[in-house]
Amino acid sequence: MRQTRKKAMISIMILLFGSILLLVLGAAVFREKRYAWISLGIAVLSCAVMLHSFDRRHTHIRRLVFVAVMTALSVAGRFLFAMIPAFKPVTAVIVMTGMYFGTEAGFLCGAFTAVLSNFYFGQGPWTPFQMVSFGVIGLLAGVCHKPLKASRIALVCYGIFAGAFYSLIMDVWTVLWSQAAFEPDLYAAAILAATPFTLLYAISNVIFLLLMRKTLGARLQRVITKYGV
Amino acid sequence: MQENKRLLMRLHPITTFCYMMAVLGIAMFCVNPVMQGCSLICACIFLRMLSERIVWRRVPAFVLFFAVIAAINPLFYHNGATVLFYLNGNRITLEAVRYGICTACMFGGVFLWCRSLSQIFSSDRILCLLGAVSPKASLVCSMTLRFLPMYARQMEKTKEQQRLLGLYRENTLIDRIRGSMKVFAAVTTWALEHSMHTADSMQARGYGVCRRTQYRRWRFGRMDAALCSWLLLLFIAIVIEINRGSVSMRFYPVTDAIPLGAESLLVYLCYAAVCFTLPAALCVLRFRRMMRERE
Amino acid sequence: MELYRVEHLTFAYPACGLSDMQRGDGGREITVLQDCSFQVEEGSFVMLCGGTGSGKTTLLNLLKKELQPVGRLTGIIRYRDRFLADYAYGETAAEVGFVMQNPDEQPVTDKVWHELAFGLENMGVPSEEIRRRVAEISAYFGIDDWYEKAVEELSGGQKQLLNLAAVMVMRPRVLLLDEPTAQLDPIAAQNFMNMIVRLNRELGMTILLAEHRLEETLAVSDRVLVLQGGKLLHDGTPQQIARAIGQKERIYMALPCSARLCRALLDGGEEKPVQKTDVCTVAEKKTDRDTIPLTITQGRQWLWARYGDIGRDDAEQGGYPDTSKTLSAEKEAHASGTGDRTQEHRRAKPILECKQVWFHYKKACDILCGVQFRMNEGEIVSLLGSNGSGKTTFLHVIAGILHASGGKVRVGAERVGYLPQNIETLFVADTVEEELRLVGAEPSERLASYRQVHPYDLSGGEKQILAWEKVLAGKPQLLLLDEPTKGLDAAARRDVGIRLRALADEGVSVLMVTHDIELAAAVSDRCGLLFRGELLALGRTREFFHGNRFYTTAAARISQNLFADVLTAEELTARCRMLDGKESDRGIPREAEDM
Repeated sequence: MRQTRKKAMISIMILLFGSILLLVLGAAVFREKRYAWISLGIAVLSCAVMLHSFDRRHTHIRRLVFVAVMTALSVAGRFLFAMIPAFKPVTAVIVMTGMYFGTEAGFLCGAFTAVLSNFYFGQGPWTPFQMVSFGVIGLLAGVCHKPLKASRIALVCYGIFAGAFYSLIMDVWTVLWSQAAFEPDLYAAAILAATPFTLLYAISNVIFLLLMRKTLGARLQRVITKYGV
Repeated sequence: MQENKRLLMRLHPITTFCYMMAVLGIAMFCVNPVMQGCSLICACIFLRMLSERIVWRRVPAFVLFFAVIAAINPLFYHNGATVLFYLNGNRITLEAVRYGICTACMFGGVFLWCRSLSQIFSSDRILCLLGAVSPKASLVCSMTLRFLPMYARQMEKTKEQQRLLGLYRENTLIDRIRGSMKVFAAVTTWALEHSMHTADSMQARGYGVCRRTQYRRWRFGRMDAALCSWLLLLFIAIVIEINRGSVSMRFYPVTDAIPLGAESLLVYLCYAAVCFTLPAALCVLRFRRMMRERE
Repeated sequence: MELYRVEHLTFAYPACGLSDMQRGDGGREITVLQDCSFQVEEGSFVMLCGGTGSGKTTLLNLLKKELQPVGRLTGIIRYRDRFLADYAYGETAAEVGFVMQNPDEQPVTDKVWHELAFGLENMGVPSEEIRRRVAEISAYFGIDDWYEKAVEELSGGQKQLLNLAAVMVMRPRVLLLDEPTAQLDPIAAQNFMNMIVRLNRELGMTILLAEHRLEETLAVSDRVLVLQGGKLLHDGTPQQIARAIGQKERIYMALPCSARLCRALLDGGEEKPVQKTDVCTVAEKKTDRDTIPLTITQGRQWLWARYGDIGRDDAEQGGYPDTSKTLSAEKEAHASGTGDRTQEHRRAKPILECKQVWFHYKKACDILCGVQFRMNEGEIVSLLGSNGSGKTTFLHVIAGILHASGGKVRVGAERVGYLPQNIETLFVADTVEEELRLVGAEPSERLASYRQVHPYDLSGGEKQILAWEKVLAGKPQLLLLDEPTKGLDAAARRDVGIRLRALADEGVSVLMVTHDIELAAAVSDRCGLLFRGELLALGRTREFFHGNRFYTTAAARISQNLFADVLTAEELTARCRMLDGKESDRGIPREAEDM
């Protein structure tokens, strides 16, 4: 336990120093778009640190396989619900993974979902941001799994939060990238423009989470008990 | 075209990754119309070299999309000295329009680059690169890619089956969502159950017994080394020059003239050289092949 | 050299799992294996046979350190003169190769080349060495053509070959295979078996193969272990086994057709008591005449030696004039009057009519090319054909999953049931009870004790029962079956046949596509062959199979050019008995009397 905490500390330190280093370097090199550069750097670095710490730790084979299965399911869910645009169970599956399989599984499921669904929708500089935002959503779901499992209201709130969080991060990045500096006006405009999508995300998250709470939750619990993961 | 792709696939993923980083890194973070134009043109050429044909039907939608991006900037951002006209009491300035067009070019270029690069970055190659950061993550992604089509198929089959049993109704949207959710939950259970056998299969083949090695399918050859060092050299040179400000432009309040000094021209040339590295490498590879065939 | 020595092995699962508690025996143990003792010599080809639930899989898993299930194990397992328990975890991972039943479950990675390298990566083999070994193995297995492909693009047979290659690349000393051909079509299965035999003959690979189909595999093995209900019932050479298995035993049905014929004639109907045989107890003195034929060829030779002179006339004349009456009577009794039934249905109204049905996926070539098909109420029709001939597509078009791109499909039934190949797609609920309640049914007495059990916790056979009950709950008038016997053992296959007959007697029409020729011959009124999207040679079962030379039942192949009009093993036996009777009338001494 102490060792894992120590490792976590080390990775946080690396993240911190790395970000500062990037901040300085990026600010020195790219004068115009230093914020975009820095944020991209931080996104890539935090993914790298998380993945690296995952690599160092010993994970039970079944846990490993479960992460792969849940990731595949969240991407496959996109195809299952293809008939309704922007109404996808992806975030909900990631949240469920975090809730039932723990923080690490949640983060990995989110991050891998971003990478893999972009095999179909196109990779680009947005991939690291999607990885981070989905990953964090899964991670936080793992952190507060107790209230999420216990109360429906908490789950609804989390669904709304997840939708807003994802949307905000992606918007921040787009605005940062297209503009020389961080312009509050433009950012507000971007948020306004993205509001329908944000709402749709939030609503679909809430609906899926409520649906999955009953159907999927019991099944995941059953598998966890049966195979003792 | 398939031939071109196959030839490029022979390069080490690291080489293609370096190329992508150099081209995109500069295109994304340097606001200069010449550089953006260069990136856009080269992206078009490269895409043409890789894919069979241009889908002309998609071109108007593509152009429209980037016209909208170009328009967003002046509509929301009102700084700049030269006022063109007023819209709802807001100034629309020439500088903002210029910047908008420049940004749209950048987005367009990046978009096209991503399109063409995703053709040479097959899943194998991305996993190879990911494996350099985290071998375990690369393995999990590989497993996910294995499961994904299997699950999609199982979902499709389960849906059909439930429809035949009359348990999957599609009358209303709610019915559809509910039905799909049921299918999703059923496939989840199925997938988790079956994945345990996959876990057994990993165990049976000694996963976790000792430190894993990684099978590297690609060899880092002489060509790769040459290309990588060439790209790195140019990249560093360009970054230094950008840092010195030889190609930077200010857009507000008055747009600077496009820098066209000797140094700036050199930077443009260097960037063009970076952009054309892979197309040129492709030509060399094809030429060599032709010569070999002639012999 | 001795590779494995197993002495008095008993194994019991703890019955503490969720499902077992619900089954009502919480706290107890479920004994899966009882007092099994055997040895495996290096380089031998050992077959482990037994029906579903006989403990084959558990036994194989116990022999592989990394796969040993949790439970109480008594007795000794020695591997290469050391106790298996003394080996460190992972020490035998490379040495003992294991191939699983379902070809879809074993592959771990998404690409063929990566799958081949996976085991070696685990062993920490350097990259250059992996390159060499992967190249070597793909050349030996002939998989360089699909080396770059995604695993998902492969056919079932290719996947299973890949699984074998992925194990072989680790250079094992012994290969454990758990029903590797159960999920494959006959051609792929044969292909796979050929590869196993080749590994054994060319490389001296020790092979321990669990199997419940003995038709093709019995003759190639050196030793056979028969497992039933967790007990090792027989242990001996294929010859000894073919002689020793009692006619009442579950596994008897799985014996090759030739062996069953010979046994039935030699034993002459009466039952020998079931007894445990050891290698030494079976009499060693054997003459050629005593050898039980195991393959089709041996069966033919045996049959020719016995009936060659009289039988040929029989085939040429189309049957003895005086035997034809009894024969047809017997046929009626046996196949419950195929001829009469068809006559009867000619008057009945059609339940399914397909006129010039065409089908193709978008931009792909035609899968169905103008299929003409008509089916009457209460009929059982089987469609045979190789993989990719459009069989499943045809069923899907009839079921309405796919829409014909040309032609007309008219289904006269209001309620159509469809049993898919992959029965697990039927299950969506959390318990058996709920599963059946969804379709408005209650579990029958066979499933009554499993009401609260999750469908996935059922055994294979029970799952099959649940699937049938769920499909039949809607009281279908037309039942569409896609490979109803895939992966089933001989006894379960016979059950399917009985079930189908019972359904047909109730007036349900059944259309099935299958690779199982024996089942089609035994139960169907009419059979047809689908070939590249065309329905060919649709006709009455008897006529259909007599028109075929290759694609026909084992009994028909054995008796080809000798007896006409023989389809199933039972008919063949009856015919031979009758001839024996005639011969003894004529005064020719019966060979069976020598014994």
